[in-house]
Amino acid sequence: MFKLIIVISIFILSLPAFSKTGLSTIKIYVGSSDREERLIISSNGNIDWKTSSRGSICPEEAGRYFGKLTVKDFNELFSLAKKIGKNQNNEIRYRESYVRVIMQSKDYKKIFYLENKSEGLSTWKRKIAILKSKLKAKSVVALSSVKKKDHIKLSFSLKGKRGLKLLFSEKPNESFSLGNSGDIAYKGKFIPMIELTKENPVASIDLMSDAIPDKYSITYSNKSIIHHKDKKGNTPLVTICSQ
Amino acid sequence: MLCYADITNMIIIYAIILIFFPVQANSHPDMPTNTIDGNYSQQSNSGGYGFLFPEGEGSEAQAGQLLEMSCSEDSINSYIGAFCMRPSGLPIQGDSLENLLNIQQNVLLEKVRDKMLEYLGSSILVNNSLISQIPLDRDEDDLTFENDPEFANDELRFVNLPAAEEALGERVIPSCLRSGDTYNTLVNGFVSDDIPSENSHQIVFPDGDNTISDKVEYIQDSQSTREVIRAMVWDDVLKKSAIASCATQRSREVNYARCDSIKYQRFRLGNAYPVLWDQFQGDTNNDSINRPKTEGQFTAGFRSSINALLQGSSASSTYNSRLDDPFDYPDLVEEIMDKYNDVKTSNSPLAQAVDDKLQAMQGDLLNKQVEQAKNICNQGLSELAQQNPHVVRQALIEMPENERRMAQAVLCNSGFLNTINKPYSCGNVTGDLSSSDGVLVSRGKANFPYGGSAREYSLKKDTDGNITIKKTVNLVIPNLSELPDDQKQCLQENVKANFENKFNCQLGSSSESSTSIELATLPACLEAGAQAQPRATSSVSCPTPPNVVRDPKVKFDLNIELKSSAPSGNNNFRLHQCFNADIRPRSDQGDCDKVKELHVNRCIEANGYSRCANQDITTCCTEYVDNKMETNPASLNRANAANLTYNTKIGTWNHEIMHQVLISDEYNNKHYPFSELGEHDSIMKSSRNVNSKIYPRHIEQILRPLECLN
Repeated sequence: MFKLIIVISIFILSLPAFSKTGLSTIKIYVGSSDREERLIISSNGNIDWKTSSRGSICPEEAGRYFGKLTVKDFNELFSLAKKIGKNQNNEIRYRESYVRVIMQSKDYKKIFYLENKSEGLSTWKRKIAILKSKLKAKSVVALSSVKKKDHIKLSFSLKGKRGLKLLFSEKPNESFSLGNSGDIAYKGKFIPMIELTKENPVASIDLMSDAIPDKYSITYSNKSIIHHKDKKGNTPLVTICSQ
Repeated sequence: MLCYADITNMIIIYAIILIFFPVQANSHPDMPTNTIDGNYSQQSNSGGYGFLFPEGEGSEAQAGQLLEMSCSEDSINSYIGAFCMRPSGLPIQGDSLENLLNIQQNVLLEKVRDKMLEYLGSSILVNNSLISQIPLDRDEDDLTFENDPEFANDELRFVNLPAAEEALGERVIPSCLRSGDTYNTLVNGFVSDDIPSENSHQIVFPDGDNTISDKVEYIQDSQSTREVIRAMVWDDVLKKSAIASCATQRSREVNYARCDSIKYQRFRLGNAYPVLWDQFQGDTNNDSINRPKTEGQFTAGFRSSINALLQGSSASSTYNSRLDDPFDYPDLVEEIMDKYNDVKTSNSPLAQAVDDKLQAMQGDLLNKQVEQAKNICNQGLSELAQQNPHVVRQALIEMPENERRMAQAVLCNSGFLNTINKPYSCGNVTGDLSSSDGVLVSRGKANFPYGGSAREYSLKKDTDGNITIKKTVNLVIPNLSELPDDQKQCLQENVKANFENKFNCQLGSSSESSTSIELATLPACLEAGAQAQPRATSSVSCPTPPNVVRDPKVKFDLNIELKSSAPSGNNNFRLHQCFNADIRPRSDQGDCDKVKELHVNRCIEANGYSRCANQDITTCCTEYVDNKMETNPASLNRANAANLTYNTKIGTWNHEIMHQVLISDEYNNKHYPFSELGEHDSIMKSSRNVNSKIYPRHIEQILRPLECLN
């Protein structure tokens, strides 16, 4: 009985942490011409991250990730973002690309663009990066490649349970870029769309080019297709790379 | 009267045929989608019908250029000369010229009617299939109506196809169209063609001609929920921005480039999304912000239902307040679509309201387009162009070059050209082409929501009669005084040579017929004892198709000035060791430590991948980025229009310099979703492609200010 009382007390004590922020959320939108992402962190612990590229110089993955965090961690992030937000003096400003943050709790709402230096900004960015590093794949595509004698074999593989579609342009240069080299050609028959599913999680494509350097970096992007029309479904932007 | 009935019947036949060959919307929505292997580039058009060039023959940027034309007397003469195969001069004058223009106006009218029927027939079919989903049974007698007031609501919904064919028989050619018209040729092909298998998503047309199927697909897209929302929201953003940029004479003068860009984008949307907008009202020559079409009677209700969706979202402000910032547009659309999909899943009345309003708009459009189709034969060119200017554009695109030239002369002569062409403001253009200073051009450049500020260049006629485009670009290098003279000289020479050697050859103004251009890199200039050092080569033919040797020839003369601080004006590039445009705040973008921090964080986000297994991830990622900074610093940088690095690729330099002579981007991104798209190898679309090139339209645009001198 005593144990039960302790457990209940702890539960009740933890409630103010939730109730203080209510259904609090931090939403972060990042947009540039070749990278888009959206991160939603909620006070119920849910994390939902959608990104067109995951990684640094040659991002190998893209898609949707999920995870959980503790109330304590959420509140720390929220407080830090609130502090940074105070120093960002404009809610709405024209920007060529931006980091836009929407914070909301029961008694607080703030929308800001990161535009000013702020104490704690580097720490906050690092915390977000570490948070993302621990997420699991929900619907993610990863790219890898192998250089063969006269072509590069690209492999797309699905991570996570939910499938996704890969769209390709009939003109391979619109879907792939191989460093500074010129034209690229499909080795086999052109396939406009590949659907990766739990049942068929891997697909490959062979690409030819006049001169494939030993150290190459090949990038796939569906940008030229999805920005035309969304006729192929709600396909998010994907820009991934292999080297 | 006969004409009305026949045209109506034609549309029905057209609808029957396309129902026979089902399009995606009403066939198997859950089946995997096949791409229709069409003749029109699926990935190179955002303006839809009116901008569709057959694959390989042009881009929509090129389609846009077709109606950026001069109507000066000289220009009209040159159009007619081209039609008559007399490029040197106009072969006829006076009454003969007037007669020719009158005859050709009738020829153009027939072509426009033909194209109008193709467009209206396709749109009515798509609209009908979207509204009804399941076609209703009709008796064959119901198809022999004339002037049936209920026609618009019911008569297209039928499935008794063989009976319909039999009933209509020979009556498919209306009196105002010729038997050889494209449409009739296609109709004859349709009925004799094999019917594809039941599960096929492809529309199969005779002799592999898929042009109509591609057009139908574009028209179909323009009525989908997502596309209609995207278009309406972007137009609402444009409308709000137009108030600041175009509303009064004074602000219009200040923001003319921005205002032109807004007006033209609204014009494109107004034509491409007829479910949202009616035809032009009043004086179409009125160059006001309301130049686009008026809203349809159900559009306001649709917008209200979107607002209700957003207000139901606790984290969102209302629709109207979200339109102030054009850069918020992609997030706003995503939020609306997320909300719509959420409530749709739960069968919420909020989703039903959106669907109902869209269906009301489609029904309204169906009524209007059936009326328009009935009246094709008794309307002139002006009325048809006023209703559907994009159809006139599409007719022009599909004409052979000499016929198109004649049509342009007719349009110039017709007085309603402002209905279909691009707005153009001159800015400040002064001087004399033959004088020593030439003509000084100072114009704003905008591809809304980007840009708007003025840039300067000059145009000068040389003693040999050729035209030189002179442009001064300032490279702003804060530590300029520390650079040795040979390094400074190397930077200037390499930027200039990379641009001029490539483009002057492509334009046919260099002396060679083909050349292997040596492309120098700027980092080489920073080496001790640097000279303009070649690093790579690119083979090009001079001129490079589709460029031909122009008469007079045109060439670039680039003047690169090195500065330690930015002069006033917008003709500057800042040159950095490190720069990444993704960094916020902006003041950190040129800081090498912040560039490293960005990449370390991105490496951590990815959990370092395999490279950091069993290591402290922060340490591992820091080492990885430090190593890249040593071995491949270019991979850490990302330039933008005003900030470049020594490592910025040559193609990017050339692309940005083209902006300095007022040429716009020819790609879409989420912030300018409806801009005109160029060919894949256009320097304004794919600067990274080593084979990218300048196109003749770019030169037309650079030279166009010369018309302002008149």
